Amino acid sequence: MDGNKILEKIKKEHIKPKPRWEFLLKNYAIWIIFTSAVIIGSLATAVVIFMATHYNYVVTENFLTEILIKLPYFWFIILIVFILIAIYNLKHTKKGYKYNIFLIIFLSIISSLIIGSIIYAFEGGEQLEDIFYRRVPFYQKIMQYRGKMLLHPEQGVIPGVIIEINGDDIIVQDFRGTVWNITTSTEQLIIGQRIHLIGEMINELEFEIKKIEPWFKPHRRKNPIMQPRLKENFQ
Amino acid sequence: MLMDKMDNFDKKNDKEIVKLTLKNQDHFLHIVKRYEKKLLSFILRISNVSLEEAQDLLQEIFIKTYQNLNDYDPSLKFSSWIYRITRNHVISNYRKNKNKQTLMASEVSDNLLNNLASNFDVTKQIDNDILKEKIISALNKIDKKYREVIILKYFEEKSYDEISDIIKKPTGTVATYLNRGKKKFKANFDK
Repeated sequence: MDGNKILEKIKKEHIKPKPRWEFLLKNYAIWIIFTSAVIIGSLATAVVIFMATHYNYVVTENFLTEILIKLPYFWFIILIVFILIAIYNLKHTKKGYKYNIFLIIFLSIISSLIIGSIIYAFEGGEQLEDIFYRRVPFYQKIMQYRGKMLLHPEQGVIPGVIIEINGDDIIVQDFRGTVWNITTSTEQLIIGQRIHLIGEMINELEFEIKKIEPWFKPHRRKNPIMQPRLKENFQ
Repeated sequence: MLMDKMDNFDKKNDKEIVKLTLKNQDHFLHIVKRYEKKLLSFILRISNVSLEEAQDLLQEIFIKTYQNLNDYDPSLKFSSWIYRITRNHVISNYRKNKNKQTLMASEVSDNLLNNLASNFDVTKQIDNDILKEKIISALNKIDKKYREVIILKYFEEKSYDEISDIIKKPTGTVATYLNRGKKKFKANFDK
């Protein structure tokens, strides 16, 4: 083989080395995607920790079913997907191949757990979950579906959302669409908050509400368990 | 005058020549001259292409190397980097043409044969040509991933770190592949 031929070809076809910035850009992009994936994974971890530790179990007849329904699947999936993205990108950094895949997986999970715990400690998990519920229609649908599955008036539990607060009155819409007008202490209640109406079913149209419990126990605030003074059901 | 210039370049290391090539493309000739024989024999060892095809592949590899010179990371040995490009190019050519990657008997010299026989702990009490055929046949029956590590270690005489940089796997994995490859080789050889 004649080396001069290669040089001739390079000159004749005006072949040039690709600019350095192209490679730098690719390398930076990999690191940026990796960092973003770790941050998103950590945010998901924060929500998983929040949901796992703050779910208000209202204890229906089948507690195991309630736990299974309330597991934060959506955030688990987000966490797994972004951990995989982080692993893939770390493997594709310039020196990524040098590290053992199990070490990379372990470090990605540990870093997500540590950063996620810090975010959780600063109430990031609670806020993110709330933002998603209010602003992401897909997530809202998942939560509504979960609410429907938890709706058991015969067992004394009606999950719903506060849609209005007027002085001492709150209007709650349950996940079948039934609207409830309740007079209660409205302290610490906010519009859009997901709550459980706990009580007793009198007949198919009447439900005696004994207390209102939020879906999630508040992170640092006192647990508000309200005693309703008047209840009225209208559709 | 030209000889003096060549002598000067012989004393320069690969990294220095890469730097100079980025300023003046003519210097790329020194890289080509330094690696053409090694890479040609490496291509022939890891594929079953003809000499002409191997030369065409090598030309493409050098062009690719030139185009990607700015991606070369000086913390890596240049030889590992160019071997990596070569390996990847041969693999993509194999995927394109679906050629079976096999080791060619012609690529095993007597020297290498002795080295292999002692490293693989196989008997040398048979005729060299028969032994050569047996070794090649045993190697060709091994999984590609084990075979390429064996080729890099014993044919190309690369260190574990260099093999790790060439095939982009951790050093521990290289050691595992090599151990498994040797065991599989021995099993095939003894059959």
